[in-house]
Amino acid sequence: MSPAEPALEDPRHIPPDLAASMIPAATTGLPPPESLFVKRLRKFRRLRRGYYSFVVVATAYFVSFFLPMLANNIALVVHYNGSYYVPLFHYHSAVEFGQSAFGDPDYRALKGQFEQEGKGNWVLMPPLPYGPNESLLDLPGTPPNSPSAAHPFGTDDRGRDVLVRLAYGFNISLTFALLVTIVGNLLGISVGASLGYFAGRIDIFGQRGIEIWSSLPFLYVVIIISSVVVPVYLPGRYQLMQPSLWLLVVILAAFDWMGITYYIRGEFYREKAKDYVGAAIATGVSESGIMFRHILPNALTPVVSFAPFEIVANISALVALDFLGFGLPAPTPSWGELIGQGMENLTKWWLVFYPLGVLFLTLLLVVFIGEAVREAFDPKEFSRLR
Amino acid sequence: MNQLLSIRGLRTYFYTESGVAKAVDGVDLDIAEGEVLGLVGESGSGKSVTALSILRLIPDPPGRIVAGEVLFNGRDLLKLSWEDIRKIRGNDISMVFQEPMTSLNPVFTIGMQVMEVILAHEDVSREEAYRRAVDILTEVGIPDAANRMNQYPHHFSGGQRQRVMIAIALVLNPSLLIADEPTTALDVTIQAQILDLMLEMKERRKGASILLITHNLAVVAETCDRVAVMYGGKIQEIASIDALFDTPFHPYTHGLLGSIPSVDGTKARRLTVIPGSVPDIYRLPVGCKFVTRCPYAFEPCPDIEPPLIEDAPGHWVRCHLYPNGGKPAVGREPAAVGSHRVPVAPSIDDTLADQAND
Repeated sequence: MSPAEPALEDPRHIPPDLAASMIPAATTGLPPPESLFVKRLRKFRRLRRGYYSFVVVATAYFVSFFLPMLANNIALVVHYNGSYYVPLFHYHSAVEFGQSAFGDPDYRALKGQFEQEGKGNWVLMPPLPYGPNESLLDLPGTPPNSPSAAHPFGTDDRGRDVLVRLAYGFNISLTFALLVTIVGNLLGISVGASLGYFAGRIDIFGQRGIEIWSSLPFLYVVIIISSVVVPVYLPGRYQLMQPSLWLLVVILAAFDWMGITYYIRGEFYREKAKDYVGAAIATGVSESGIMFRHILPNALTPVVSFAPFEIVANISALVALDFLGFGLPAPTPSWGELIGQGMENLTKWWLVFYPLGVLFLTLLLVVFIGEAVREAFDPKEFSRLR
Repeated sequence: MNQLLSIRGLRTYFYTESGVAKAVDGVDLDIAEGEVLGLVGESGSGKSVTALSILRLIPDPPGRIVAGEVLFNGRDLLKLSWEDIRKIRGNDISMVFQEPMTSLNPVFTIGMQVMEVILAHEDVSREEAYRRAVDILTEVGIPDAANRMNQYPHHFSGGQRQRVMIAIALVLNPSLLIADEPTTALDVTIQAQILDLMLEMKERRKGASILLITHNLAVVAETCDRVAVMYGGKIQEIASIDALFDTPFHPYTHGLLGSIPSVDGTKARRLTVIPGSVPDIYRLPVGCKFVTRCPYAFEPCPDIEPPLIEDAPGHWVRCHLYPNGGKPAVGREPAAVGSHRVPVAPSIDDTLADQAND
């Protein structure tokens, strides 16, 4: 018996030449690791309408955070007597630039003045050199002024540029809706998870509590709160840092969280009975680990698929509150307030058409996103809607 | 041999709208170090509830462990705080469940689920946990474990998932593995592999014990050192594997063994069946739980619960026929027809009904 033979008798032995031709195990038909989330993301990207709506809305929202540099009556850079000034980040009074006025410099006038003087001083204005709360009283006629080349969307009844106010309003509306959705969902998920997971008495009393809470008339509560806590506008502070905005977020979220609670409660009831939860408990995973690491990711489908529609509802809610005058305090740029002006000035078509049009477009795009998200989360490959 | 786990007088009841279900009603059981103990019984006999009660995994409500103690290394598991019992789970005592297809969380990778149990109990770095997870997956026979760590449960077959479950159960070297019908949901060809794997893993860990819960006597015969037979929430017979198969004591065990087809018999024989079906869990008999189906039932059986007695060394039985060598006590006549060791011939209807039930 030669030394090579025993090795050949071993059924596990692979001859070297055959072994060389074999594909390494790592590349043999193993599907690439892909989580359910990645799968759904891929499906979402395939749904063109929703995906492109998402790209448009997300881009517009991102850009809207740079609005103070894009649409403002404060100059980006001033070059005056050999020094550079950045008024956007640091306040300069009118006197510093040789203007005979108190308080804020008029940078548009300064720009014209420097150009006339030709001494090498210059002012760099944002592309749209009008502020959201700036009354343009030097326009011909009385406000509201009809659309013109300088003001394509016209001005409102206080002479403020409608386009600029709509743009700022977009940022505020969407931020507000996102905040309310996030805060409301956090609250709703926590409550729903506790009800579903702990069940028993907590569930029964919790549900009754929610029923009582949800029967409170939302609008009257808002009216009462806003008459007690008078919403004030702090001038000079960035719009998203206004306390009244956060107060409204809290109030709306306090009335917004109940819906998702029932879904999460149901999901927790269903998921906690599943074997993997029992198996995880049996391996000594802590209670919070079971709730938030194991069950929650499996229970998030309703949250994600409802979120775009909640955003739609919350944008509408803010518009409605602003329209009624119980929303954000004047002079916050707001869509609802502009729509209100449109109703008072029905003959001024640009005050009706543009705010409603922008609102409609935004809601439509977000609904498209929501539709695609819902479809991406649908376990059925072929929905009857397609 | 040292007793690893001692269950004494365990009672687990379920309080439901239909009444109180006494799923486990006074179970005494010892598991020695290094032993493989089989716990057999029909569906609803309380074997799974016994196992779940050890780690206090009974859903409450409706279930509650109302009495008894479970001594593990001298500590009563039923008296530990939740935090202490959590530290025992998966670390000292771990479980493998029946359904490998649903026992893994669908949203996490296999690797994360193996690593989670390590990180839940030991203060080690993620790299260390990762390395140990790859090692244990390789050890339970997952080929190319490092790559498969990143895959999700749906990329694994049933047998592989059960291997992963065993890996999760054994990665921290527990001293007791409770396997609750680990092979029931698997193909017959895979069943043997999984059982072999469990025994092999046990052999590598000196002193580790297995509590194997099953309704499959063939599995018991192949793997266990001792067997406990459960019926109606009580242990009816405990014996070594040889004693149970050679000289079964309890009429119920007779029935169980008589209903297994054998391939080595010289003569074809008709399988016997146990007449009737399991009694309603809400209305169990007052006396012996098996009285409604026992061919040897006599006068004391319906009213008096027989004690669990040691009739031969290491061979315990709960039946009024003992310790009298399997005959009714003097002065008492069998209530049922037929004499001992000659089972009542089943009617063909019973056989058909039983097959239909299976």
